[in-house]
Amino acid sequence: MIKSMWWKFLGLALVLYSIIAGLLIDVPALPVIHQTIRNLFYHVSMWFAMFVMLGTSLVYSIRYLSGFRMRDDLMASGAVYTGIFFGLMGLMTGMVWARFTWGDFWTNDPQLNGAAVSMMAYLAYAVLRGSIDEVAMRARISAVYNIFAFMLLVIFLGVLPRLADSSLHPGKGGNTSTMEGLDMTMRMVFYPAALGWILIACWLLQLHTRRRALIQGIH
Amino acid sequence: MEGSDKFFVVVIVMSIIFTGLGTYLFLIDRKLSRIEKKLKEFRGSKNNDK
Repeated sequence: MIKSMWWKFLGLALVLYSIIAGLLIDVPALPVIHQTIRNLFYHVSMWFAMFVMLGTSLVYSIRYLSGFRMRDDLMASGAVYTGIFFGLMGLMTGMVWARFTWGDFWTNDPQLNGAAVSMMAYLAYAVLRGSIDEVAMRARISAVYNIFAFMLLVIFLGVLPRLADSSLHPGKGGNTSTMEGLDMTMRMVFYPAALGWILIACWLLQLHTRRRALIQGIH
Repeated sequence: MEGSDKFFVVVIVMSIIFTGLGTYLFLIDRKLSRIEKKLKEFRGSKNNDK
């Protein structure tokens, strides 16, 4: 059992490391954001985990459409729900961070509005699933919708903010990327933090689908 | 960070909370595995009866 669980412990260890190191390392002195730059380790990791979950969901939706196995539908929907969880965490942590650096909980930033729109698209996925009683039809329709929702996500979070005239986010709207300004010490915390949260997201997804498989009798 | 401001205490507290959460997650995982195993045995014994 321990053998198959190593990646879960790795995820826990990496996040624990990012909590300790993320708070203790010296960060570069920056105007406006000051010490809050440490939020990078925690806030941005949420979005990384969300992207991986929603990407996983896309893969399983396509797999479902090519084989119509209920197991794939279970994984696809579970990954969307886990992704929504991390997306909401990202939105909430981002709002707090924005309040104390940009002055407001919500600013008219293309990245923020894009994140809100894509979250809506995935909440609509949950509503859509809840509104169809017939199992096979629910699986098929939500798989097709999920592909569409992922395209929205890529456009609203990956493309439009970069094309926008101005953005408060680094790397967007003509700003320089965060990675260019990130010193080595911060990278040594940020990459493990993101990987750790991605692993924990995979763990949560696994627990979610195993529980639902037991309830629904899918194996 | 200077060590004089006792900031490390906060780090320890946060680490304990996160480790606790991780342990909880692990226990849920183990319980799920046990139920899955039981269900497998149950299905297996039902097939033998036929």
